[in-house]
Amino acid sequence: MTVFVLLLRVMAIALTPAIVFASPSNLEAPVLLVVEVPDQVGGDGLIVQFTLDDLQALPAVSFETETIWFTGSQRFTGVPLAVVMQQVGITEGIIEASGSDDFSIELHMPTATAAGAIIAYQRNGSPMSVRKKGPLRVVYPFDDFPPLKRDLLFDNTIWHLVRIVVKPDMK
Amino acid sequence: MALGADRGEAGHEIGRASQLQTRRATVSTRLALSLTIVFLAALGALTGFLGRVVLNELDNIGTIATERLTWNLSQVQVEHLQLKELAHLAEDGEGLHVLRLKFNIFYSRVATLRESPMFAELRSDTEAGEALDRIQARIDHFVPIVDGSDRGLLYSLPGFILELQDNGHDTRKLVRYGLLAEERASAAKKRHLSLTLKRLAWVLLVLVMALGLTALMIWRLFHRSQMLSAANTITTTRMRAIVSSSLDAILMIDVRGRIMSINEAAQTIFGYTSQEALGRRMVDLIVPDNWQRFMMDNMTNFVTAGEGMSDGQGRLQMKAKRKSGEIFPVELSVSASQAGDDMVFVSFLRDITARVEGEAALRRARDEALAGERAKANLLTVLSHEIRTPLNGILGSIELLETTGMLAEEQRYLRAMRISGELLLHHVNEVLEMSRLEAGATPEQYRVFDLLQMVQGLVDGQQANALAHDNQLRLRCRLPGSPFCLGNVERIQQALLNLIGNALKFTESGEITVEIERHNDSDTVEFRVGDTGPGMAKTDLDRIFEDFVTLDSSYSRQREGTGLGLAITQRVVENMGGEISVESELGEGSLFTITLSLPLVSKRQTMPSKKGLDTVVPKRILVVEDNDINRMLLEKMLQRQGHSVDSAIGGAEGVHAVAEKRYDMVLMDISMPGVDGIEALSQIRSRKLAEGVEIVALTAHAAGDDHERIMGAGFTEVLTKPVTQAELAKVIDRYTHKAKPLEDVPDDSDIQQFVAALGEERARGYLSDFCQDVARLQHALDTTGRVTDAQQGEAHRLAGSAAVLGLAALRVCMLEIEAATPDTPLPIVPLAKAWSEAGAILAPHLDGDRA
Repeated sequence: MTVFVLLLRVMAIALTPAIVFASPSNLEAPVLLVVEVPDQVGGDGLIVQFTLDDLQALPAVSFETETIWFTGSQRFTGVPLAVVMQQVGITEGIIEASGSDDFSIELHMPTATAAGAIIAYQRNGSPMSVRKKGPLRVVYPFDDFPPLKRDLLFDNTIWHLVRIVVKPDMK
Repeated sequence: MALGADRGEAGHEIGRASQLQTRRATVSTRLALSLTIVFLAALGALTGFLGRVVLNELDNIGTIATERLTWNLSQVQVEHLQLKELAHLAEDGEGLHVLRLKFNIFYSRVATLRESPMFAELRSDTEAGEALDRIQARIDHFVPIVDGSDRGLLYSLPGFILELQDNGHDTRKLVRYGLLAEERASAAKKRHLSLTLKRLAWVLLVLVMALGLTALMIWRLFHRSQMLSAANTITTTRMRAIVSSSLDAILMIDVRGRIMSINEAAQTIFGYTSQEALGRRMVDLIVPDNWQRFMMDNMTNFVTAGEGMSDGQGRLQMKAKRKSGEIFPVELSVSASQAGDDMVFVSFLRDITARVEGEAALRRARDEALAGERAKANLLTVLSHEIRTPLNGILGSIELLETTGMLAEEQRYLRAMRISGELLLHHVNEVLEMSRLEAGATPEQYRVFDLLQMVQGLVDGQQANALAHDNQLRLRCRLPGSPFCLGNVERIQQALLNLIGNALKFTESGEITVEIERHNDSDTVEFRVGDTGPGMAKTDLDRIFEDFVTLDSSYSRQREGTGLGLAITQRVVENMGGEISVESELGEGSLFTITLSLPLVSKRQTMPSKKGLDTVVPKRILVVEDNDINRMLLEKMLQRQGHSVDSAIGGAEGVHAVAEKRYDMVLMDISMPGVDGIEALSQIRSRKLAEGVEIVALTAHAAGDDHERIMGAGFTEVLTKPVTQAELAKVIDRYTHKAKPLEDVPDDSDIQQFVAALGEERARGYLSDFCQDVARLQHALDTTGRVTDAQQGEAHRLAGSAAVLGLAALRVCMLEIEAATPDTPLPIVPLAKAWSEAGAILAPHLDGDRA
């Protein structure tokens, strides 16, 4: 795993300029998610881009749950947030997730992970358009939790997810 | 004597009363407490439930749903504005993709509003719903354009911007709705919470009150237990007072026989102090050595088997031992008191030394008195014999002398001597009689007798005496009901004779009336002897009953008696439980009245004819009877009466017997097979085999024409079976020229006479044979429905037996069967009925136990 991560790091560093300045139409697959890990000591940090294929290549999780946005159970399929963050070597700390509607939330990694957060790319077996709150959204298996916790989790979701930035540790 | 038991009972009563009180209190308190606890539990649950509701409410006050609504609605507004701005910017041709993105985001937002269950209320609100619909319509209109080419989009921009103006209105409407909704919801929630809090407050109030109630009850319980404890103390104190003041020794002993406590009386009686006695074994301290074993066994028995150790009255007489070692008699009563596992014995002991001694002294005195009485009686007997013997000698000699030719003067002297001697004898007899009565030496003989006959005999006997004084002696009786009664015949005769004798003695040429009267339904009989003699002065009336009192009279002949006559009579009457009184008028006469209780006796209660034996002259009698039972019965009856009996079975044998021997009388049954009674009689009479011997017929037929026929045949008399002892006796008496009349002998029931005649064992044997025979015959008739000649003969025999036993209905049936022809139906049903009735009558005589 560490070898792979190392490779990724190298790739990321090498490709960062290209990625940053590339427009979506130039690439063959659109980038759905950008994960940034700013360097503590003021360096360039790490920026990783994921396409749909990238995400789908990672181990997927699928569950059914009821939500406040829809009537009836919905099946969400996606990558566990923990797995995605593992790609950039982050297992704890606070991350800021932002959507294309300028909405952002802060997630506490261990908590979110423990709650089973996934970055979903499919709802009921089909990908989600922006109009359908996609293409990526952070959801949890809401039904597994008691009402109080559930409400909290509803508030900790985000639609139209495009970017995750790891917040520096405040010691 | 019962004091110890009473004291024990008193204590027991007190204990039981307070025990009852305690139990009642416990039950009611337990009930109340249980109820309260249940109530409290219910309240607690209710509180818990309401509390949870409150907590839930508190959570909901956060009203996340409304917050989300507000957020989403404001976001719609924001995104609308952003869209508008981007639309303006995109007019240059730049940032179309951003516009598209923003459009999609807006679309997504609106979709949320349209789809999410959270916003159902929003959608159902008229204004807001319509606004939302309009917004949706707008964006739907533009979806194809947005999804189309850049050029198309650019071209449509102005129209789009225009639309967005209207959109703004609608979004603002939505926002306004959101605010209102938020307000409403908030208010509602506040109200709800307030209500819940109020409810909770009530519940808490009730809970507090319940707690208060519980506290109150606990206090009451406490108070009551205090009172019970106080009552208990009172009881205990009283018990202690009873125990300590008791005159009898009270010991409390534990299961192992050790003394737990002794009272003051015990200390006095036994001589041990409390300290000396406590803890020691009772058997060691107070039970004499030779009784110890007995005591131990009894106590063990009692503890293990619960058997008492007393004589049923609860008291035991024993010996006990004082500290000094002295053994003395005690009366002892022990009872056990058990409360749960705790068992103690409480024993009351009384020192009965004085009582025992007293009893012994009394017994000695009694024995001495009895001995004295016996001595006196002996003296009387001896005296009477010793005095009378010489007197009889004198009198006897005088009589003899009188008969040997004496001179007139000598005769005169002899007569004087005789009269004096007789008088002396009479006086001596009276004195001896008096002593005998006083000593009570003669036991009274009560038996059943005919009052009327007795009195009649008495009066008849005195007629001669009456005539001697030219007096008229009359008897008047008013005795309703039976003349038989229970009484002491000799004494009554004695009393009456005395009165009548006195009356006759003192009256000259007058009237003496003897009246006997019994009031209806009364046991009391009044005897009145009245005379028209000189009478007595009132002052003398009391004196005459005294010993040795005679009244002066102008007749100075032998009327002077010892003065004991009336005294004896009075004693005799009083000994019988009666009364004697006198009325008199000087110059007119006197009336003596005796009242006695002579209970009437029904004929049944009188004794059987055993006493007839005394007055019967035995005869030789022949009984001719074919029926075994009848024959046996007659034989026995006649033998009981003292006659010698021969019997012949059947007429032929009877004739033969009469030819052989001479009898005083013959009793002949009429209906016999072969030679019947009438035939037998004619043979006997024609051959002159029994001249001068009366032949009496016995027949079961009671009909009048039968009697005529039988009498016509030449029988002396007809007796109807069953024959009673009395009838037999009368008939024998009448036709054998006997001198003395028999007393009337009462009748028992036929069966009773039968059993009495034969004796129980034989009677039972005969009866059971009889029953078997009848049953067999009945069964045969039932099964075959016909009757054979042999059975008819059997029926005849059984009819006779039934007659003897007084079973009339059965007899009739049997006779019908005997007389039945092939045409006539057999009386099967009546037979069954008669037999079952007969069975009921016979049953008590068949089994062994007689009342």
